[in-house]
Amino acid sequence: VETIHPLHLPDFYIGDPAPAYQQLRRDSPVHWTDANGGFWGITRYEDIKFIGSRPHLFSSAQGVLMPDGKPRTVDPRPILITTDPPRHQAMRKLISKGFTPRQVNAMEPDIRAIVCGVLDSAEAGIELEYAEGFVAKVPIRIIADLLGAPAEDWEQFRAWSDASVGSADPDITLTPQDAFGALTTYFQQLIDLRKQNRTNDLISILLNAEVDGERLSPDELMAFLHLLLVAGNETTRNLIAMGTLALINHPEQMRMLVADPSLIPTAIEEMLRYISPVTHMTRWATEDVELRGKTIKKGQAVVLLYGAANRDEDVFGDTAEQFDITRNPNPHLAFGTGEHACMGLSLARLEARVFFEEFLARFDRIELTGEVLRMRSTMVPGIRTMHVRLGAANERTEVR
Amino acid sequence: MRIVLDRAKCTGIGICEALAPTVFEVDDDGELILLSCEVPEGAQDEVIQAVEGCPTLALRLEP
Repeated sequence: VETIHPLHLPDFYIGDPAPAYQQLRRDSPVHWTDANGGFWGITRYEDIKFIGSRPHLFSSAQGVLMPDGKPRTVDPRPILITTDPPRHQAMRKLISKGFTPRQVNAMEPDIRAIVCGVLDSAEAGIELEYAEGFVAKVPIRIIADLLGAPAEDWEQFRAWSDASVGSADPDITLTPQDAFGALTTYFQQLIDLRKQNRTNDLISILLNAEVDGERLSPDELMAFLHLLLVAGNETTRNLIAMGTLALINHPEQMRMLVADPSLIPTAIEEMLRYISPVTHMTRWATEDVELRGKTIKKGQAVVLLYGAANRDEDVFGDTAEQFDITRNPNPHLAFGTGEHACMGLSLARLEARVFFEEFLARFDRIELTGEVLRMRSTMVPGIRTMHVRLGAANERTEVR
Repeated sequence: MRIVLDRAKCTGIGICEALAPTVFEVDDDGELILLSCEVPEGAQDEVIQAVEGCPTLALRLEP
């Protein structure tokens, strides 16, 4: 008997998909869904590693989002995430010059200043909206700073960014197309400034980058700056917001982290595994492939369900369903796998580490004071709003 | 154990450096440098994690 799992709907991901994932891993690890033109859902760790490491067999060029049933065409825009080999590897090597561990570590003082600026606005004892009104300020300001945008432009930058992905406040009337256009103009100004006066910032590094005589074309650079907003903003926001929610829901883990902040790095890896902020990426078979007794036909979509792989008992054992901030090793696939694995992973880890270091230095208790409102998304079904009350560290009595 | 790097597969984002900084370093040019070709004493666990954690399968260990 096959249970119907609506893998194509946001509600599936907003609810708790873990029981369905468990059943799929066991009974139907390569699982056909008829909806949205049909696609295969892949839930086992080993299978996702197999597919991710074979970009010639499983292409990204027809898009990486959940299939929507519309006819697929190769995206003509030169975006890193939907580019296949051989150009992908060249682009990737050029762009990764801006994201080496050393480049990222050099951003720590700026990141800490941004995090502290946001956290200093939070007051203990009163109710505050934690996701949209609070955590969300951190990654978007870091991206703006990374691009060399001055602080006075950050709020405008966020408004364009939110509107361009269609997640803006309904009061903002800017269409996604207009916001995208405004960002393109703004990015071009930043690029032109760096062309006149190169520094050691991200845009300068990308303008200077050259590997084996190859360079990024102007269109590739522009497409990458837009991608950075999509890839580095809501994902990191949801890692922090949903990571906080996981701590609220596991008070013994929260107490352990408060008592020993040196656990923050492993706690962040466990948040990544347990939450899997990006639920999936899609690939398209370039020829017929046999997998676990099923035939994935040429042209069919495979949806790599990272959240399911990250609870795989074969890798994470009997405790796969538990949230354990001391888990180590923790070889989760929250950043994907293969040559499209998240390029910003060092940056995401650093942002989250600095956030929780500064947060726990100020607050050692956090409680929900209302309902958690989720984003209706299949790919990044994060937290839209979450009302909480914080308790100040070093204060033994409840603040009223 | 010897560490073998396939440069054609490496994209230089430095997951290995984060896991085993005594052995792997991505330089300013985005090229991965092996600080040691042999697995150093006491660093075996972190090097194995780095090799297994490489998303592009650019690293392997040979006896």
